[in-house]
Amino acid sequence: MTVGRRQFLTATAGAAALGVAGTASAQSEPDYGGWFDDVSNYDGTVDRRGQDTVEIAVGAEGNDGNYAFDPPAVTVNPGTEVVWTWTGAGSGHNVVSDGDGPLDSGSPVSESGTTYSHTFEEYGVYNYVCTPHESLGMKGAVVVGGPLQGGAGGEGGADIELSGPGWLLGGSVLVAFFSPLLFAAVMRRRYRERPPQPTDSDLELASGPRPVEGAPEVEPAVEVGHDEFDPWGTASLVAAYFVLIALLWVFMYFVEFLGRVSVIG
Amino acid sequence: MQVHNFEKLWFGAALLLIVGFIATVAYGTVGAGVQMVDDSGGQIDSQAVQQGSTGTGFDDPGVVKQSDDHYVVYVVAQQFQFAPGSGDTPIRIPADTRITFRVTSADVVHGFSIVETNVNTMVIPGQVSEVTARFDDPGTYGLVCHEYCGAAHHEMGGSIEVVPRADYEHNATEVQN
Repeated sequence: MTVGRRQFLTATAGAAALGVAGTASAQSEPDYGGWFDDVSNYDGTVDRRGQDTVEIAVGAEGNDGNYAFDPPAVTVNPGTEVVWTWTGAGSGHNVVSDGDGPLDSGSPVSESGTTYSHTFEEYGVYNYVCTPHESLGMKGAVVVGGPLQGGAGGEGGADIELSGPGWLLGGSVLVAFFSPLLFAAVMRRRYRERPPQPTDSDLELASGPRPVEGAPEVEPAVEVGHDEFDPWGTASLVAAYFVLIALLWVFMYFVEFLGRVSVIG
Repeated sequence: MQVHNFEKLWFGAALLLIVGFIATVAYGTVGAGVQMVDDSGGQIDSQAVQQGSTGTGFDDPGVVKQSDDHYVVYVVAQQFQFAPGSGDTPIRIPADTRITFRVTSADVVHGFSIVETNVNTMVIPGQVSEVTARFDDPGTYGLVCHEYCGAAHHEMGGSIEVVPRADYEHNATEVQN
């Protein structure tokens, strides 16, 4: 039995990974820098080391439709051929490196069974997108050579550390938030300490019956007969509105509409 | 029947308004030459559009010169981009020239609206929407899809660069070289 070159590479890569494990856990995720934040089907990096070819579905279910790569993140050995296979779902897709990179499957196609492949020789993290659906989260990454160690100080994200001004701000916000409770407590205390106050019914008894609401009826100063009604005021108002409509109409049609680039055929 | 004079006046004014509106629209069509978008673009197989096998300008969409004063722009709308138009490929056209946009969809219903102009049409799969316009002023115009077409509809847009006619010829020969 002969040991193939790739198997040998796999074995040595594994050994190398074990060697690194002293400083970083072998299971730790690479630091993608938020690359997968909006990718719904991302659930860790799938380890596909030790395989000659790795297949990734294009147009898999995810990101509210068929706008996903499956699996979105894979780890492969150097020299592995990664084959993207189109499912045919979710309209036209492509595979293009994010920024400068080796991947470019060309313009989007949707035909089921379309394939695009690339053999990764260099170590690194290769981020890629489907150009038309990048904004939906159709993004992926190929990690060549096992998990990389995180970027500078990437591990401290979970601990909240506040500086002096930070505490001051946070504390004031907290105090402001709970200030109604404080106010309520103070008011309650004051209410308890106050001697009993006279109630509404006591006041009423002291000052006699309530005054009657409503204005008294008044005789009209001038009474206008039917024939004496002069509508010129109303008519001039209507005329003014008419002029306004006509002006708006002229501006709307002749300036706003015809003044623009129009369909002429 | 007794109709008050003011009422008669009001009737007359209202009729005048209606006649005025109709006359305005008639002037727009006959005088200014504003046209409605019709079905003159003809029909097309949207599957073939997607596969680029229509045997028409949609297989390699872009600007095609018909004559010195007439260019045809083939645009394929698909989820979620215009080709050309979106991203790094704005549509470049000359100013003061007849430009016919022939737009079709490779998947679902899209919209083709050039912002701040009256160029505005639906893009229906299976149908070629054809609109002709003349851009007097050079500049960059926005292009948006204004028919809801899916999850990233709001991202679907592009731009149109209208360049002075003299410059356009120059650049066009450059591209050919």
